[in-house]
Amino acid sequence: MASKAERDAIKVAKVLMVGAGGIGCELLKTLVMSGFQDIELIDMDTIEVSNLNRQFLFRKKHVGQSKAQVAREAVLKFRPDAKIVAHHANVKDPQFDIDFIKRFTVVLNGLDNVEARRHVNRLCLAAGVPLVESGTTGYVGQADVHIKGRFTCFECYPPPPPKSFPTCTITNTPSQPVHCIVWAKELPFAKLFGEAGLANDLDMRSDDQAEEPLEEDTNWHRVKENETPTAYACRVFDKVFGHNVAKTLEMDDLWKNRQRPKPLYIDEVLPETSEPPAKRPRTEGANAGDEERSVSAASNLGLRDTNQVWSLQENARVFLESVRLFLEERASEIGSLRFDKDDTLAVEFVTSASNLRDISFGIQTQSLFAAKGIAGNIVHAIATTNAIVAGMIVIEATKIVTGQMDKLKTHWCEQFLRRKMLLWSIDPNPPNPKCYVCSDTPLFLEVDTNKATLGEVLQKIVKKKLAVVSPMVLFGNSILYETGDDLDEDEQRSYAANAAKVLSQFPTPIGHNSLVSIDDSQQDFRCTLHIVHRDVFDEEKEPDMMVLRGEIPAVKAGEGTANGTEAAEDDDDDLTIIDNAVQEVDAVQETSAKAGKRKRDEEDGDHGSRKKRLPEEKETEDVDTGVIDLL
Amino acid sequence: MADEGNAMLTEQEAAVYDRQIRVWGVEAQKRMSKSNILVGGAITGIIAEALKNIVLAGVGSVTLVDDTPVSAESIAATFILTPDLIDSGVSMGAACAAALQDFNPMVAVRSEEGNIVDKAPDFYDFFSVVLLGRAPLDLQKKINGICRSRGHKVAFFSADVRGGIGQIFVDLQTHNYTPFPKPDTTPEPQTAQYPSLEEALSFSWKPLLEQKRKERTDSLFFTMRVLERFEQAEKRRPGAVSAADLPGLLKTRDDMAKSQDVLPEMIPDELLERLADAGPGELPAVSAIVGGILGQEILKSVSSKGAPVENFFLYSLTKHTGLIERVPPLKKS
Repeated sequence: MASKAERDAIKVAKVLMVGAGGIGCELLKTLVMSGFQDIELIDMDTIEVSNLNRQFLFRKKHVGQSKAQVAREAVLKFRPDAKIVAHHANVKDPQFDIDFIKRFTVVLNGLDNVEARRHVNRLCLAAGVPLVESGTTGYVGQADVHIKGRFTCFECYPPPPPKSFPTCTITNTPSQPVHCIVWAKELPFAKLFGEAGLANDLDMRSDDQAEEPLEEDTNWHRVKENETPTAYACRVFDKVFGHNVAKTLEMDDLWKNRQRPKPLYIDEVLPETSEPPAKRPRTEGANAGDEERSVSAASNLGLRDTNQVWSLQENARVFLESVRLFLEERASEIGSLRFDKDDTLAVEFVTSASNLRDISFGIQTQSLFAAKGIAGNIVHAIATTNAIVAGMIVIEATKIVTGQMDKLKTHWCEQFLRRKMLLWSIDPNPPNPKCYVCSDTPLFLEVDTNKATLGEVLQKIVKKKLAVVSPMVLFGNSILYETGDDLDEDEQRSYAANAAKVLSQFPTPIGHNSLVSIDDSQQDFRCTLHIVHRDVFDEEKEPDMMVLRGEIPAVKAGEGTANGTEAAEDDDDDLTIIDNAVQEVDAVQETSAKAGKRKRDEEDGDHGSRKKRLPEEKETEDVDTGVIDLL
Repeated sequence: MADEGNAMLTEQEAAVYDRQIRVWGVEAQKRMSKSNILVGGAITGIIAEALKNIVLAGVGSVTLVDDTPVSAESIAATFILTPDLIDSGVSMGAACAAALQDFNPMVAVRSEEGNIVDKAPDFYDFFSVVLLGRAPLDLQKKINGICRSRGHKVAFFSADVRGGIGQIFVDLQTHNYTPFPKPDTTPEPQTAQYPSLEEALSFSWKPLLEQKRKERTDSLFFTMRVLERFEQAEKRRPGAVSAADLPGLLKTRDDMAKSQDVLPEMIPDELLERLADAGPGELPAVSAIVGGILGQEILKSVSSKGAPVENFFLYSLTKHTGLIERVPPLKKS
C-alpha cells in the first residue's frame, strides 16, 4: 500500500494529540497501529466510571488517574517501541505556546469543548501547523482538516450561540421540563448551596416590594436558629413551590393564555411526614471523599431505579431528604457548591425540585436519568463512532505527513443513510475571507461607553466571545490592560484600576468610532474592536448590555438571555452536532462542516438532482437551517 | 419473558453504560446484555476492532473459536495482544479472549477449542449472533446455512478488510426493529427480510447494473465477487494473493463479466490491482472504520434498535465512502 518513503515519513512525523478521551483513546491506538511512532498527548482530565464504556485503554482501577498518562502506558504495552510523551495538563497552559506547536508535523484534536478548540485553532494558525479537528455525538461524527490559507480554520463559521431562555420563562412561565431544570439549577440550588449572598430571582417576593426588601425576603435561604434540617427543608419547600408560585398567580396578565400553575405546600403533599427518615449507618471503610459523593437521598428512600419517574410524594421526599443531607453531611460545602452532573446529591436535588415545579405547572416530569442528562448537558457517546472518526483522522494525518495535500478530505459518519452512504467525504472548504480569526476582518462592539467598564468588556466580550485567554488591550499608544505573571505591583494596580474604569472616563476617552486593539501573545491572536456607542439595550435580549458584531453574523438560534447559557462542558468526546436543543455545544465545527454539506448539495444540483433529495437528507440538515441561510 | 422488562440494570452497569444508554435506551441495553455472540474464522484487525466495540458495549457473552497460534503478523494486525505472546503457542482465540475479558468484566468472554469448520450444527443453538472473520466463501455459505437452520434466529455476519477496502455481509433473516427517531417523528416498528449469502450471490449482475444511476450497485461489490471467485478457483487461503496475481484476477473478471453478460470495464482494473497489492494486509485505519460499523451492526441486531445494514456494507479508502448495497434489490412498494 504505502511506499517506503511514505512509511518513513509516518515513522518520523511528530504528532500532537490534544485530548485522550473518547476519540483520543481510539486515535492513539490507530496511530501506533498505522506506524506513527512519535506522539505527544495532552489531556487535563482524569478517568471516570462513565468513560469505561468506550475509552478502552482505561479500566475501573484507573478511575481518578490522568487520562494522558494511563493511555500512554496502555498503548506502550502492545507497542513498546513507540515514543509517547503524556502531558497531564490544560492545553491552554502557557507552556504549550506557539514554539511548542511548531515542533509538530500535525496536530490532532479530540476535544470536548469549544474554548479549547478555538485556542488550539489559533495556536495552529500562528504556528502554521495543520490541524485535524474531530467530533462525535451518538452515531454522528466528523473529521475536518484546517490548514492556514488553504482551508477554513475552525472559527471561519461561528456557531449558533448556546441555547438560552428568556428570564421570564424560567422564573414565571415554564412550559418544558428543561425550563424547570434550568430553574432548579440556577435558582434554588444556587441560592441554597451556591456562592453565599448572591441575590436571585427567588428573593423579592414580599408583599411589600416598595423600598427595602424585608430581611425575611433576602435571608429565607439561611437556616434559622434552632431550626432542624427537616423543618428548614419544609420551609424552603413552601417558599419556592408554594408562596412564590402563589405570588406569580397574582400577575393576571401572565395567565390570560396559559394554564394557571398550582402552588404546592408540604402539609398538603405529605400530610403525614415531618420527621426525617431513619438515618442509614455509614459504610465502614469507605474513605471520606467517596463517602461524601455517595451520600444519596434517593437510595436512603429506596428509590434505586434511575429510570423510574417519581410520584409527587416521592419527589417531595427526595427534595426534603436531599436538603437535609446537604445540611447534615456536606455542611462545609454550602456556600460554594456549583452544580456538577457527577454529584449524586446535587442531581437528586435538581431532579426533585424541577419535577415539583413541573407538577405545579402541568409539565411532564422526568426520571433522574433523564433529568441528569439535561441538567449536565451530557453528550451521548458510543465507542463505535469514536473508532470510526479516529480512523478518519488517521487517514487525513497520514496524507498530511506524506505530503498528499491535494487528497485531503472532510469526512462524515451518519446515523441515517445519505442516499446509500453511511460514511462520506468532500473536499475541505476554502477559508472564509470574512473570518476575523484567520483573516483581518473588523469587529464592531456596540456598547454604552458612558456606562460600561473596561473590565466588563474584557469579561463579556474579549474572554467569553472572542475566546482570548490572556488579553492585552491597546488604545492609541497606551496599554490599558495586560495579564501575566511578570507584572510588577504597580502595573497590577494600575491595570486593576483601568478595568474598573468606564470607557468614556479614560484620559483619552473611548467613545463612538474609537479603535481598541486586543492582543493575545499566547495565541498570537490580535483583532481591532471598532466601538459603536449605543445608549439603549434590551435587557431581556441583550443581557450583556453590549453586542459584538463581525462581518460574519453569528447565527440567531436562541436569542436572549440570562439563564441556562453555559455550553455543555461535559464529556470526553466532544461533539459537534446537536440532537437536543439544550445540548448546543461545540457547534462551531458543525457550521463549517455544514457549509461543506451545502456545497456538495450545490454540486449535486449542477447535475440536476437537487430536487430529488431524499427526505432524510433534508431532515439531517434541519438542525442548522439558520446556518445555511447565512453562508 | 414477563420479568424481562422489569429487570433493572445493576448500579455498576448503569454507571458504566450511562453515556450509551442515552443513545439507545435502557431496553436496548438490557437486550444486548442477554445476547450471546460466536466468533469464528480468523481474528483479523477488523474482527478485533468489532470485538472491542461489542465487549465494551456490554453484550452478554462472546465465544471465540480460532485455534491458529498467535504470530508476529497477528500481533501487528490486532492491537489487543501484547508482543510477548508471539510464538508462545497460545491460540488466537484464547489470547484474544483473555485480553477482551479485561476490557469489561461484565461480559463473559471465552475461547472454544478447535476449529469452526468442525462444529456440529447444534453447537450454534446457544448463540444469537455468529460473526465469521476472514474465511473462504464456501465456509461462509455453509455457516450462514447452519444459522438459518436453527429453531431460533441466529444472525450471521461475515467481514474482511483487504488493504483499504472492506466488506461486511449481514443476514438477519427476519428482523424486527425500532428505528431511531428522526427529528420530530415517532418511529414505527419495522420488519426487514434478508436473503442468505447464497441467494444474494446468485442474483444476476445485469439487473443490478441496469438500475437508475443513483441506485446502481457500486463496482466495489462486483470487484469483491471477482476476488472471492479467484481465491476459490485457485484454492487459495483468503488473502493469499499478491501483485503477481493481477493477470489471473483480470481474467477472472473478464470471464465473470462475459457469463453475466455485462461489460468488463464496470470493474476497473485499478480496483483489482489494489486488492492484489494488498494481499492479506489491512490498513489499520480502515479496519477501525469498518470494524466500527461491524460492531455497531451487531449491537443493532441484538438490541432491535436502529435500522440495520441490508445487506452488504462496502468501504473504499480511495473514495472515502462507506455505502450499503441491497442484493437482490428490494422491490419498490
